[in-house]
Amino acid sequence: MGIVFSFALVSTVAVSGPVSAAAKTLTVETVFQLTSTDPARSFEQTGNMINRALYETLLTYKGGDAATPVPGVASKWKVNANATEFTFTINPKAKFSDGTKITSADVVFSLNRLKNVKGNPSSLMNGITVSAPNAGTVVLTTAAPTPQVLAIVTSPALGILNSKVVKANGGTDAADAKDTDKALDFLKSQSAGSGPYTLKSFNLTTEVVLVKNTKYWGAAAGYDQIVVRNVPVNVQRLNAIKGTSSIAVDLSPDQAEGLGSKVYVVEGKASNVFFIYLSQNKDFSDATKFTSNAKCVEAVRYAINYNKIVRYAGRGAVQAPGIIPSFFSGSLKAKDAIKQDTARAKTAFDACGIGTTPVSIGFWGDGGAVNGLSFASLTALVDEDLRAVGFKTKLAGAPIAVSLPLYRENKEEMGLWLWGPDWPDSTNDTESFSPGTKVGLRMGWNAGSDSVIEELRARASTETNPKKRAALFRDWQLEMNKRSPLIPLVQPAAIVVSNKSVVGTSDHPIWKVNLAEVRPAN
Amino acid sequence: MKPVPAKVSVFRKILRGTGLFPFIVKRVLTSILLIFGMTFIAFSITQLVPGDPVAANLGQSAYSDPEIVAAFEKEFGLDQPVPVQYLRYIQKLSQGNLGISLSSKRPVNEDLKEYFPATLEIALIAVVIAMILGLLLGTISAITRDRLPDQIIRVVSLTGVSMPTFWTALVFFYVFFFLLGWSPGTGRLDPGSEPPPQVTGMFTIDALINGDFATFKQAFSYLLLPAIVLAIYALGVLTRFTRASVLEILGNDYVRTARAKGLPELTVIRRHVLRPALLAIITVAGVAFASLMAGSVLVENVFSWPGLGQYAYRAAVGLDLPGIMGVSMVVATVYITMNLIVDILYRVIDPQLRKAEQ
Repeated sequence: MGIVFSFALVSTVAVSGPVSAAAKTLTVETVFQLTSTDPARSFEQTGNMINRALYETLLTYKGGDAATPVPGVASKWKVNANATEFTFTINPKAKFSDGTKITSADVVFSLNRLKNVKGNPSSLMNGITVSAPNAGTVVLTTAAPTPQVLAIVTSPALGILNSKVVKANGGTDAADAKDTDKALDFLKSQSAGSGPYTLKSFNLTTEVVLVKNTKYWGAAAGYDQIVVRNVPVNVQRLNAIKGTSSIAVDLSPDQAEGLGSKVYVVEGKASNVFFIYLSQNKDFSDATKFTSNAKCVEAVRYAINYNKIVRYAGRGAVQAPGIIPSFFSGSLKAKDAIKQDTARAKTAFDACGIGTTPVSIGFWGDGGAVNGLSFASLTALVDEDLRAVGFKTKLAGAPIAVSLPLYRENKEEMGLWLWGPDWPDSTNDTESFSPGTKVGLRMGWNAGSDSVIEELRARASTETNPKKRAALFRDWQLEMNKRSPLIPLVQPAAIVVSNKSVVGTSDHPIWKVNLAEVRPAN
Repeated sequence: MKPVPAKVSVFRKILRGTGLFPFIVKRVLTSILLIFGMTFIAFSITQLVPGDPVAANLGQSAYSDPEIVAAFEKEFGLDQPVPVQYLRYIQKLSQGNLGISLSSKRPVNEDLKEYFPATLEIALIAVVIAMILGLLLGTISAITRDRLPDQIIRVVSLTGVSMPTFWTALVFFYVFFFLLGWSPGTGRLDPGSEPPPQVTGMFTIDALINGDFATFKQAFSYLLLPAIVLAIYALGVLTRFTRASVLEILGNDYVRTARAKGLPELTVIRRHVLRPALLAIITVAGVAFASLMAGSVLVENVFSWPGLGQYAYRAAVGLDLPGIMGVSMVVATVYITMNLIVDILYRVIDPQLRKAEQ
């Protein structure tokens, strides 16, 4: 029977040939996190990676950098003194893939459409108004100082679309665009941008094919074709070893070991920070009467063996000294990180009074893993430490569709989750974890809970001097580490595996691999 | 009393009839009722899951924006009470509309049109492999009872039934793709290759219809390994079932009579053993085919095969109710259709059943 199968397989493969990329085809393998290639509706990692190559933004970043914006469609820009007005001058050479020139009207259309379709990334435009004083200038204004606008405009969600083409295919930027915009299907069948590649085909479960934009106004694309394929992680690893893929996106540090001589590994830090929190909602359950107690938070903070967690996370991982990832302004140094102090944790546990009241820890439990780290394994490690100081814990993992709503609706006693930035700036964290903000509310940490932290957040969000901003972000984190119900755990490594026939592969916190920069080695 | 219209009268006559055609009509009508019943059960069970499709489908920031949440709920009808959602679903379903998928953001009909043929393609090849080899091995096993060939085949079939499909898929992929290089890898075609123009959605068939033999060979090379993996479990079951059926029939007097008459052994097996054994084997093959269609998710995942299983998994994880309902409808229809086909074949193969009805 086996012999019969073997002959059949050999005979068919001999005809179709090996799965190798053609001379100018780049094959990128990833586990799809993808909904569409409509910039206004796509906010997932794979979508960002693809849209970064199809659409250009006003500003962007080079390589894996996420700190210094460089020109995109805008050749220059200026910011007023209190960071409420951002003026961008469109590069006169910039043109779409159909050869038409990019104007300020296209930028206004694209950004307003993003704002009004009310899609996943629409909140990026909250509080931002866009206008065009002339065909070559775009002005973004905000009511309050918002220095992070320069980072926000780099998001692929703010990619510039050819407004005439998109309007002709059902697109609109009107206030009621959430009901009236019908361009989604069109933008999944072809692109309308100015990037070095255009969309050839889109399939949500198999592959997305990009082809070279022959009219690209910048440096020519490195490949005639890029095929982004949906491939399980274990198969990505085998293909990397065999050399049949160009880039593997999702390997963990452990999986990136022993891949052989055909590949090189780009190793960076993931933009995700794993953390544990204690609910401050006193009225939610018997346990939260105590988890909302500062002593209980202290007990958890000092009970955890952070070194053990970092060892589990593997090569390249570091303890997260604060919630702001290591490559953003104002990130803390390793010396600032919380250190395990079991004696202090036990004293705090006794003072907290929770005793034998069971407390549950929620997490993504159906095999959920990000950056190669399993939520269940991480929670088990933390659980072991908490039990050692006296906590009676219950592990409450559940499938993501069940556990995520519980976390988001403040229905957990404790939770182990992660945070990845929506835009590459530290305000992403100060505006998400302070009392009364997004995750703050999920922790039951309402506005007015901590005046020092809230004041630091307010000052950091409006400060325009880079050095002063960084200092405020640091101070904010140090205060958070002292008193907040949030305890940062680990920042894993981010790995991209690249065949040696490819150069320019980097790891970026928002779009992972910048396909526009990747080129053949020769 | 009003006279009964001619059409109604004919319909009643059909329903009261005892032939094959009335049987099919009655079964189809029952099937429609069964499918509607299934929609109610699937809808209710999905509502019992303590999750939130909005949270599962929107990002961190979007979920915190009430306007975006409201727009999402309105777009997918989640702002309506559950009974209203169900009634609207049934109303659309009666018009052949399965709704819009929360995860793919396109009509479920279109999704199923793409994913169902992919699964059907591997399941068909798998069931053909399993039936041919299962019949052959099961018969050999029965006629060599307790001898070496029987022992070997029993071990092989038991292994097929016992091995988890996911594990088999991983091992086969590793051996035939990575070590031996006999399989081209994951997916349905080489990276960047154009699929043939869609007629059936099965790439091998569509390529043949289009006269594109190169694409046919390429599609077949990708198809074969996942189909073999999928066939292994069904092969184990069919082999064991065939063996049991053949052994039972071999003990009958008429088989001994046939042999005593001096008929060649092959003729005895073919005419007097396999034909009656087919009844039971067809039943198992039908159910096996339906379960291959429904249970291909793990194999599809390992081979990145964009079929119904992967679609079902994504729909379940994202609490994509229209997607879940669409898959449930397809699987229920396949099961019901397979049972109907098996029952019809029973009547064709077994004259006693036809006589009993008459």
